[in-house]
Formats: sequence, C-alpha cells, structure tokens
Amino acid sequence: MGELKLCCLGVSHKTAPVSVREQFSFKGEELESALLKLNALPSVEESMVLSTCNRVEIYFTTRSETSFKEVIDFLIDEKGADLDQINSHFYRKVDRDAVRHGFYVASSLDSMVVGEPQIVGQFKDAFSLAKELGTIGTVLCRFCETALKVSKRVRTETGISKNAVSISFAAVELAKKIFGELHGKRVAIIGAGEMAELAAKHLMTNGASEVFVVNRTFERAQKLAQEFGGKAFPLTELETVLKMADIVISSTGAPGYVLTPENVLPALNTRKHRPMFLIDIAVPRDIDPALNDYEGLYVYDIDDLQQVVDANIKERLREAEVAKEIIEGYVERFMKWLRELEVAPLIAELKEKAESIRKEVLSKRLPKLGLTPEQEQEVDNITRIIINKLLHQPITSVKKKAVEEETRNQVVQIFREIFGLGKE
Amino acid sequence: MSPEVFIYSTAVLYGISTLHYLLYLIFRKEKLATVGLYSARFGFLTNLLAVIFLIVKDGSVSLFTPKGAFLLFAISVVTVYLYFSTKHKLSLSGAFLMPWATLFAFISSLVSGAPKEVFPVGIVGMVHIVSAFLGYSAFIFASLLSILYLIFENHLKKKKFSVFFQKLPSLTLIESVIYNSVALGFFFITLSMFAGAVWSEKVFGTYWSWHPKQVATLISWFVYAGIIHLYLYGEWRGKRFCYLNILGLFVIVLNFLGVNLLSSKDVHSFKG
Repeated sequence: MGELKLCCLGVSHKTAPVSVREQFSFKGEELESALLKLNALPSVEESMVLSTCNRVEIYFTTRSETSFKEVIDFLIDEKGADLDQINSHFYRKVDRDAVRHGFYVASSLDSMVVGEPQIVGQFKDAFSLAKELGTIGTVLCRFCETALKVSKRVRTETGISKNAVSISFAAVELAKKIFGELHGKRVAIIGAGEMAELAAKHLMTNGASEVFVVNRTFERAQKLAQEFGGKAFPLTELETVLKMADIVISSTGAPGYVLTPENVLPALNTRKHRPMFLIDIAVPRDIDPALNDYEGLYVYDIDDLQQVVDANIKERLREAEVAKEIIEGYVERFMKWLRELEVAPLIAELKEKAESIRKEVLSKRLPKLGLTPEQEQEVDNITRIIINKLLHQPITSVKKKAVEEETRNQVVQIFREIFGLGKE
Repeated sequence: MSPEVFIYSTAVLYGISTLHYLLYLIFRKEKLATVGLYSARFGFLTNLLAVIFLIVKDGSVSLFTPKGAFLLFAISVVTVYLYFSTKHKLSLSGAFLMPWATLFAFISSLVSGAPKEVFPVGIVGMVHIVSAFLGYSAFIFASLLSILYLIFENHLKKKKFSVFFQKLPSLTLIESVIYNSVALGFFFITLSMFAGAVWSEKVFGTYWSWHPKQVATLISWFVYAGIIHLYLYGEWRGKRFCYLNILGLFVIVLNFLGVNLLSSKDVHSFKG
C-alpha cells in the first residue's frame, strides 16, 4: 500500500470543446449511480464528481501506485470513450496540484468568465451529493469545506466578481456610475431589439421605475411595453418620451441618426442639469455621437460598451492574481494537514505501545515495593510524565518531516522500524 | 512618554498609507487600498495619543504652538477622510488626501513646540481651535473630492477606463458627499468664529478687532456661504459646483499662507 494521494481527473472548457464535455457529463440519477460505482472501485477510497456544462471533474483519494488507471477504465466503460480521447482531453492532477486546482475551481478562477458566481453553487451541490451518498470521508470533506471557505474569502476580499462582464450589465453599471441609485429612474427603449430588451430588464431589476417603449410599428411597442408593465408610444411622440426619460436605449434599424441635437437638446434643457444616459446598440448607429459633447449627456455606443466589458475582464484577471496568493496559503495548510493525517495512526500506535509497556512494568514491579496508595499514584504519574517527555520530540519531528515532500517516505519508514511499529 | 514618539509614528503611518494609496492608483489592487485604510486608522490613533500627550506635558496652550497646530491639522484632515470614505467606499480619495496628512504630521515633527505667549485657553479656546481645523479639513476634503469628480466625469465622457472610472461609485454620490462635507465645514467654521469671538473677549476684552485672521476668515465664511447658496438655490450643480469648491480651496490656502505662515504679529501666526 502506498501513501494516500488526492487526485483530480478532469476535463474543462480549457482542454476540450463542448462536444467532448457533453459526452462525459453526468446528470441527475446518472451522476448518483456513477458516483456509487466509482466509490466501489477497489483502489478508490473517497470520491466526488463535479459536473457542470463547462467541466467534468472527478476528485478521489487513493493509495494505489497507478492512481488514475481504474478511474480512467471506469470512464471508458461508463461513457464508451476510448483511451486516446481521454489522454488528449483530460488533465490529471495529484496532491498539491489537485488541491490547488480544486480551490481555483471553487473560487471561480478557472471559470470561462472569471469570477462568475454559479460555480460555487455547483461545487456545493457536488459536495452535498457525495456527502449524502457517503462517498466522501475525512479527506475530501475537509477539502470541500476548505474550498468553499476559500471561495468565500476570495469573493469578499478581492474584486474578482465585482464588475459587469456582459454588454447589458455594463449598461447597468454605467447607469449606476452616472446616477448612483437607479430607483425612480425612467428608461426609454427606442426600437425593439433583444439586447435593448435585456438591458432594460436588468435596469428594472436594479431599481429603475418605469419603461417607455417607442417603435415605428405601434403594435410591437405595445407588446413590449406590456412585458415591462410600461407605456407604449408611436415614433411621432419621440420628443415627449425623451423629456421624461433618464436612460435611453436605442436599437432601431434606421439608416440615419434617430436621436440628434434637434430632438435631444430641448429635452435636456427641461431637466435642470440632471444628466441623461444615452445607449446606442444599433448598427448603423442611432445616436449622433456629437451629443456626447453636451454637458450632462453621456452617449455610449456598442463599441464603448464592449470596451467597458473588456476593461472589466482585465480588472477581474488582475484581482485573480490577488486571489491566487490567498489560495496558496490554504493549499499549503491543507497539504500539511493531509500529511499529518498520514502519520496520525502511526503516532497513536506508538503512544499505545508505550502505554502498554508502562502498564506491564508497573503491574509487575509496583506491588513488590509495598507503597501507600498515595505513593503508588505518584509513581504512576511520574512514569506517565517520563513517557510523555520522551515521546514528545520524536512525535513532533515525524509530524514535521511528514510534511516535507522529498524525505517524507524515508522518514516514516525509519520511524516505523526504530520503534517497531505495525508493518504495512 | 514623550509625544515625539507618537508624532514620528503618526508621520510614518500616514506615509505608509499614502504610499499604498498611490500604488492602488497604479495597480488597482483592493488589497493596497485596505492596507492604506488600516495604516490611516492606526495613524489616527497615534495622532490622537500625540495630541493627548502634548496636552498632558505642556498644557492646552501647547496646541497653540506650530507643533500642536500641525498635529491638530493632520488629525482633523484624517478624521474627515475616515468619516466620509468608510461610509461611502471612497478609498480612492485617500490617494489625494493622505499626502496632506503626512505632510502636516511631518512638519509637526520638525517645528517648535514652545508657546509664544501664555494665555488661558479653557473650553472656549479648545472649541475654537478644534472646530477651526475640522472646518478647514472638511473644506479641503470637499475640494479634493471635487477634483476627483471632475476627473471621473471627464473619463466617463471620454470613455477612458482609468482607475477613476473603475473604482469610483457614482457621480451623484460624490456630489452629495462634497455637499455634505462643505456643509459640515461651514458649520464648524461658524462655530469656531463664535468661540473665537467669545474667547477674544475674555482674553483681550473685545469680541472683534479686525485682525488680519479675522478678516480673512470672514471672507472665507462669505465665500462658502455663497457656494452653499449657489448650490441650493442657484442650481450650480455637478461640474460647476466642483469648480466653486476648487476656488474655495484657493481662498483657504491664501488665508492660511497669508495669515498663519507669513505674518508673525498675529496670535494665529505659526511662526515660532
């Protein structure tokens, strides 16, 4: 029997296209039965499966020399894949690398969109399923708990999931930069496009109070307005709507500018210095870019929004670096714990052995001395103290040495031999 | 313990805070801002201890020496900063404000702590000097935020995705913090003028004597009364309000330089 190893066999959006990922994904009952079968493999001690649309990962602990072989065979059987496919798409990580990878995944550092929050829930689900089916024990349980703790710290202490990384959310973020709270703000949608609808929806969920829809075909406007509980207007009423709106989202198919200084400036003048946010997601553009030069008008077109998104992604990657520093500390501590766990039975055995020797000697020799009960108690205490003091140094040393990668196996072996402990 | 130890620690802690805030401007890592904030908080504590030990050692009159005055100035600037920035997540403003605090603490460690004339201070005197420094600090903070506002507004318009664009919450919020800060400053300056007049009557027998400092403060008071009035009733909002506050800063700096630093006759002079 070798030493205990924590392994991760997985495939993700970084190593395989969706066609491969979907082939290996486990859903619902399939996941349960796969987990149970996996756990029944002779070499696997504990196991859990994380299966999302971007990744399928099997975390397990084993003492086998050929750690991955059985699990790979299992995948081949279960999914009817061939070895080449697994070799070319799956990554294999052991111990420190596996732990670090798991922590990165749970903290959303390995996600397609870094910092997206969904993965935390998915990780929790995988954890609780494995717990429910009893496929994980001390090691993976602690691994998952630590991973979730790390992920929480990363989310609160770094800005990894702070800024918007989609165009429609970027519009919301910008609106907040201009207006602060969106409560009581009124949104006008001109023309009807999917993106405009989405942005308006996000604005509403973030507190905007009312939506006006302006469209060339009035029926279409009415239909969309109904969706938001807003009001519909024909295109001829554009100027009236502009006077009421704080945020305008334009996405008509018109060939020329729909919003120009002629119709926007009168609206601006009635607003008493309150700013107006104009979002242009039409191509060709709807809003005259010259409007951006007027005080209190902020015009963003689709490229500008995309740039906001790009800048935010860069920002998240910057924060990811900070997160990695935090995670490294936890990886270190986890590995230390894991190594100490390995020598724990050894230490317990040593203590037991010492205690049995002590008891044996005392029971033979003590009655011959004819001591009073108090004196016998004292002798008993003294022998205990001697043993504790004697064993203290070897125990701390072996714990310390068990953590060091290179010398670990030798030290444990020598420790066993010197003290004559159980032969494994 | 000697107050000097605390003055030095204050200058060092404010320096560390400044450095981290400036690095935050460059590297944009939240961790740097956190270090900046905590050093500022610890610096605030040592600053407070320095003031207390100074009073214990030489009595309240030691606040009217250049050393005491700069120490008070540093702590009031930081007080105003910590109050507003913790409330509204404006850590970016630290990069603009903490250099001032550092400078004041540093000057305090250099200049003399010997009082020129000894006169009774009492509660009225304390109120006068503390509220004066708090008031000026609030004005300074407001004008620095105004600069921040103008940069932020400009970057929002020009689509420049700078650190200001990324890290500042919103134009509306900054504007309201500026206004709150100005209003707070105005309250304290008014309080300080009243306390000063009462105190002057006690010591010199007259409420108002057209001292250069009194005149300069009266001018500042009218300037800020005007700024507040324009904001509330004249709709001088947004950028225009910010320009007014920067103008206000000039008036204060002139007031401070002209009276406290250059003239040596006045009781307000910092010249030792």
